[in-house]
Amino acid sequence: MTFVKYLRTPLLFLLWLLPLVAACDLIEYHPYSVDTEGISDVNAAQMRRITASCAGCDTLRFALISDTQRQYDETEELIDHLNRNDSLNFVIHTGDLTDFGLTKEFLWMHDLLSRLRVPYVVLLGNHDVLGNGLQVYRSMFGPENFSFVAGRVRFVCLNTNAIEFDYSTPVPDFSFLSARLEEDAAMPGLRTIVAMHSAPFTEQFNNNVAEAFEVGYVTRFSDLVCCLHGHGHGYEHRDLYGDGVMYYSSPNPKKRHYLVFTVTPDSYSYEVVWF
Amino acid sequence: MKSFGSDIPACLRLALFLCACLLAFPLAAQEADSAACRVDSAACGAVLAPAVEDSTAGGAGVRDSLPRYVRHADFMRALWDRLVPQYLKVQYAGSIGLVSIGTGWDYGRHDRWETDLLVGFTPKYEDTRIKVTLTLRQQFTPWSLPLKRAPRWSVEPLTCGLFMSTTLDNRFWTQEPGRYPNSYYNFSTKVRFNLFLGQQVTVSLANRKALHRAVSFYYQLSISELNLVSAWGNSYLRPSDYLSLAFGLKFHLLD
Repeated sequence: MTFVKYLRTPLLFLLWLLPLVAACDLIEYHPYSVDTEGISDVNAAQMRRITASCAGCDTLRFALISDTQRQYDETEELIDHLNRNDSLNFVIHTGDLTDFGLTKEFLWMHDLLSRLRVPYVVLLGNHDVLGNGLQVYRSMFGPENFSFVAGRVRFVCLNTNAIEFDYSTPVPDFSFLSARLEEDAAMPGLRTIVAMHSAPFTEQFNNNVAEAFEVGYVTRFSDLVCCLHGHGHGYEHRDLYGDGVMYYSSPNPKKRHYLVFTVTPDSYSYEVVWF
Repeated sequence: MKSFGSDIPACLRLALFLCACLLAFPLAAQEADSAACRVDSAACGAVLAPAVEDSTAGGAGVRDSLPRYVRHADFMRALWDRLVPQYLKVQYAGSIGLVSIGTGWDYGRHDRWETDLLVGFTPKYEDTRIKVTLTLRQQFTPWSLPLKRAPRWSVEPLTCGLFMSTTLDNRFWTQEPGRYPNSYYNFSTKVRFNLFLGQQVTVSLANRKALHRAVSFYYQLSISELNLVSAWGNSYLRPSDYLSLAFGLKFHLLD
């Protein structure tokens, strides 16, 4: 009556085999585990790729995508479509990778985005903060405010999801913007694009400072091109403040189109690309 | 104006209500027909019966001759005995912690129903703290098949049920905090609802040296309501993405 003998009975053999076959991917300790499987500082690495590959470029072409949450099928098609475009320099994702802030959602979307041939950066969306999503975002992608230079354009990427934070966390972070403005003065000749997830005057934005954000910071960049955002789930182009600064909203993948921007030293254009 | 007790968490209010019910129960039982008491104090009656059987006609008469407070005490003891947990479970993974330990009750015909309470621990990984998760699980086991070739072994080819888990961490909420517009996210980050299917093998250890009557090994595959929503309409996701596997041992102590 040995233990091994009973493992050999046909019924038990099947019983033991089943979990072992599937075991590898199926183990999850907690939906909000923040087990990022060793993926870290994605944005920093991608920004280095962007800066290196765009060095010396006069004309810059990038795609704007956003709000890919829970749209894995459509995002897969979107990424296949982006990969067929040889003229792209990089891709900006303006946040909401996830719908529930689950660690697995971050990993699934990272798996998809890492299929991109060109480098990409990911901003923080309001859904990405849910639960302990902020911890996942920070460890996988890095700080929620960051900036990088591509060719002759500097991209300032901001966390604007104020409703997800309390007052002790500055959202948008004016001291971060001040530091970028100081750099701006030290590096003449660079154009600036400001990217964020939630646009001013949405329910997410800290609208008490919406005016100060535009007048005190955004419009003070020496050669502002435009502002980019997501959160609206549809393509929109609006002069939000009536001051000539355009805010472009990226559609989500379900809308089956995305925006491609072309920035030259003295102008810019964009097109809506369907897939 | 806040209504009384509105700042007490719902679970605490439920616990207080249950305590109040238990305290009130003895009064209600006094009023009840003593027939119920006779049935439940049968064990006590059986012990006493041989000593007094000679002088009385039957068991029912014996029990009737016991003072009412003794019968009521027997009834209450039997009631509390049923609240004693009957087994111990240790589980690995399953979206409720790296390791969970718990206890529970089997009941119903052939003990086909089980209710577990588990506490699970998740290491902190890249988070700032470890997570402690409480789980309430309801399980149904429709069949238990004894193995002819191995009389001490039995197989439960299907276990199924659902469990809800809650994480003790103030970053997670059951209801959206007031700062959000109404019905902004429409789900709870704190409470997860899961469905599961599994299988189990049980080996009887009934011998003089064994600490437990039997030990079961089980595994189960579960899906949370959030992963179900993600899997719905996304052929990109495979079952290995959204299903969660758990292994566990059940030590039968009192059942």
